[in-house]
Amino acid sequence: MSSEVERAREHLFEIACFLISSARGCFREPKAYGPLRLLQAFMMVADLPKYVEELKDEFIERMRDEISKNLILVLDERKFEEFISKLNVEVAREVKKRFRRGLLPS
Amino acid sequence: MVDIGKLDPIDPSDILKVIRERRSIRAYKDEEVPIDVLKSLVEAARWAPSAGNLQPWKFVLITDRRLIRAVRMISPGMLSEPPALLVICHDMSRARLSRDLQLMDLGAAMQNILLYAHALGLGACPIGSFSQEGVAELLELPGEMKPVLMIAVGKPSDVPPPPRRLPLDELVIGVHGG
Repeated sequence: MSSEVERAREHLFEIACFLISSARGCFREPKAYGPLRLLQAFMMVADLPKYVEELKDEFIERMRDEISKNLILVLDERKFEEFISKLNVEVAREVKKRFRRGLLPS
Repeated sequence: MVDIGKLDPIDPSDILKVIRERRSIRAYKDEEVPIDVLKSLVEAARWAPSAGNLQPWKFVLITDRRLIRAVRMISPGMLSEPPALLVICHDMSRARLSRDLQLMDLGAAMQNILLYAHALGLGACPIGSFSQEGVAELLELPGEMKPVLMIAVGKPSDVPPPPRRLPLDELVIGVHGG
């Protein structure tokens, strides 16, 4: 097994641990922590191309960097929700762009 | 009894300075924190008040980076990997009062740690988002020890600005006398 695949496998294990631990916390933690964990998980998924270069996607990289800079907004639920709303618009624009270019799976 | 009059006087403004300037530090320099320093933080915790003086706390001190990484894997609230980690356990063998009351005791111990860490020039951050069952299993804690809080500790590499605080006038909802 190549070292990249081995590292990707370790990273996948970390993602699995994170998701399952986060699921446990969702029962008792503040409501805003649910969206926070999803964004954290997204960042971990977005790191996969570090190990499998073929998966590289500039849009996902950009989103990851933007989220990384703004995670602290979780301390202000209203601003955090606004930020996630904005991200959703960006995602929809990207979907539209890829749709128009015929890049989405049929 | 200790003669209070014979204790060294403390400038109240020094205490308030430590309280006001403490921040939750989530970014650390890559510098080790000796176990003895963590023990001194436990010394601060040891003097926290507790209902019925039950002292329902025990502590696990970790500087093993591999173990900290492993703990982080099941601790979604640990946003970065600190050089040191202190786990505060609720000692259920001393759980003779309501859980709520004893969790407040643990909170008081935690605050002592946070303030003393700040006074030592360390950064620290309380972490409540972690798998309690998972951390107990990973650290092979005895059944009566329930990990309820963790404190990440390290030399700060980034100190955030003070977060907004509610004004004093909004906090005081009643004044009687004076």
